[in-house]
Amino acid sequence: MTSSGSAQEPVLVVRDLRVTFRTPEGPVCAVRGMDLEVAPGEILGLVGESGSGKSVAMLAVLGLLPRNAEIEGSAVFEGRELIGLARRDLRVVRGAGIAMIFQDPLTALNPVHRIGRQIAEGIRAHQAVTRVAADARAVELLNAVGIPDPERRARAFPHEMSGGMRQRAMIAMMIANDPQLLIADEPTTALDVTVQAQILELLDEIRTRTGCAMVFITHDLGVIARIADRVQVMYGGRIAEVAPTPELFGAPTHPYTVGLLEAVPGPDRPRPEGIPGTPPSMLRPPAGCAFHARCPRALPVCSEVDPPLLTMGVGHVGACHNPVGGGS
Amino acid sequence: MNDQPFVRVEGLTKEFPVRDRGTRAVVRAVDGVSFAVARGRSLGIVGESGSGKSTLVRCLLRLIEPTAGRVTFSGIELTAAARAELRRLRRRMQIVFQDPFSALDPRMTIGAIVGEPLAIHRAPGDRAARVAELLGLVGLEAGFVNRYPHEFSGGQRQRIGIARALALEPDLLVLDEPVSALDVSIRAGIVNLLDDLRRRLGLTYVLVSHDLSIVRQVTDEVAVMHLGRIVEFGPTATVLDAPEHPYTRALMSAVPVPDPGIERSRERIVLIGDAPSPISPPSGCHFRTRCPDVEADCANGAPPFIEQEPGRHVACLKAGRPGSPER
Repeated sequence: MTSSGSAQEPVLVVRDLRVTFRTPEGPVCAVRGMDLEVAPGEILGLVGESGSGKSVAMLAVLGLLPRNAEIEGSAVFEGRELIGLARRDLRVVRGAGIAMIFQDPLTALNPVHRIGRQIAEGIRAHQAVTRVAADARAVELLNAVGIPDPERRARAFPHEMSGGMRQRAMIAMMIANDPQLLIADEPTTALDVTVQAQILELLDEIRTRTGCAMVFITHDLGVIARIADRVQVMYGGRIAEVAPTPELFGAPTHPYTVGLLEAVPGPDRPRPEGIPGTPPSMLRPPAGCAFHARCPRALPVCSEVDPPLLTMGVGHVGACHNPVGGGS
Repeated sequence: MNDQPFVRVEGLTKEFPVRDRGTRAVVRAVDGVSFAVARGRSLGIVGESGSGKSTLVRCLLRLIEPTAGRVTFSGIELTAAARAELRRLRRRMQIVFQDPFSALDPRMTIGAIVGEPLAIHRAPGDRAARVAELLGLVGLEAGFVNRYPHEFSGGQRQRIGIARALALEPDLLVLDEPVSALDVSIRAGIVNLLDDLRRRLGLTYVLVSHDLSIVRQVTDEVAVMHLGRIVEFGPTATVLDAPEHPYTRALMSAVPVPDPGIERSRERIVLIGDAPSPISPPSGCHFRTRCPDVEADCANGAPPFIEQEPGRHVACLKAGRPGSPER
């Protein structure tokens, strides 16, 4: 396991990212000022409920959002600003520098091309190699992600593979150009738990072997506990809390984080109550803290003033006027 | 409570015809499954995708016709029931589906959705009052009757689905992954509601889920399915805490626990390779190709489903035998 808070320069630095979708009903403020950093060899878990802005933020960084999205702020990858970068230049970064693994490999893979050829095509788009060399490299990669009989599997079509195999093939494609950053958006949510365990093992091994940074988007706190070095909790398009994984689980300060941890049954919690209410509509984001309407610790100030990010410990920040444990 | 099982399933089998590389073949999605549920009890069915759990409950309600086997519901053989009788029986058994976004007609009001079963079965009495009562039962405001599904969150829609399922005062509720589509913070509320409703209304549950925490909270017994067969059956806490079948053990060890201390130190049984194809499962025990404890005998015929202690069955040659691996 890599130590968190390493002295290495972060691979990706996001500052005050804002994403607004123009819709017929009005602007939807999906991300409302988010910071993020991830260092080489580090796995950052990005947690939140549907609509918290976690996926949209990462898609914005990669320039993969539809045209009705307005993006503001900064995202610097390896010293280069990505926000506002021309499509052609972004394409060089995507695939070679940053790769993204999606939840459903079946929609991300091309159904009419053989697996090996799809991987080889990705290699040839970014590296000057012959088709034969790229094909051979594709087989090597399939072997590296634990696909048995890789020569034969390289000739298979996506529909001929199981869900777990497809996700492995997808991962092989994503690591083909040795990216410095892997963004994994719920990569195991569509898989069975025994297959999920295999894929998590594989991603952990890739991180150790290649030293790449990883942003792991998920709503599953069990998966976070298993794989992440640090966790960033999102709520209503903003950061609620960021902390090293053991500290986030051991000493959470944001009432939303606490609520999320206590929503899962445990040995001392056979019948959790969950968090009352529902997440806010980003069409009409609430004033003040986005969580105040559901928060058991809300103060009058919470519905008026947006809480700033405060230091709660070493490498630990939280955005709360009335944090659990009082903060520091 | 009477001893006669309320729901009894015997040798239930469902085959689907498929084409495998141009030749006709069958997938036996459910392969000779038997179990019983007493009135007022709650049975959980767990297993991975392709294990046949959803097909099993659809056969149980005869939403699809089983290929072989019998289902008896409160002493009446459902699998032999004629149309009119089946319709009468259906009032007493209802299902709640996984996805509350596709299970509700977007053009119908909440009142019409919840009241529809009453209309179909021509239930006597004041329909509007009954709908209001049902909404109250699931924790929704009676004032929602004139609103449409799109105005509600996932959790609220699932409550609407539950209210509809309860409209005809059923005895049996089949719950197919009732919280899987919901956010973590919302799940607990729905699980608690289901738990309370069962106690309050004396319902019998058959709950299908891959989420073991809801199974632990809501069910009394659990059946673990693997490739169409039940491999382990017993009291929920015993099976989840002290699994006997190697597949159940692997499943339990693969479920991530939200505690980094436990997650990073525990022994994990990571299965090698993929689940076998349901078109041509391995001979003998279907799990033997991935089983860490496999022996030569495992290829010879399906392992018998042995009652290890009262109410606890395991289909494994090695289970309960002296020298079998420690849990």
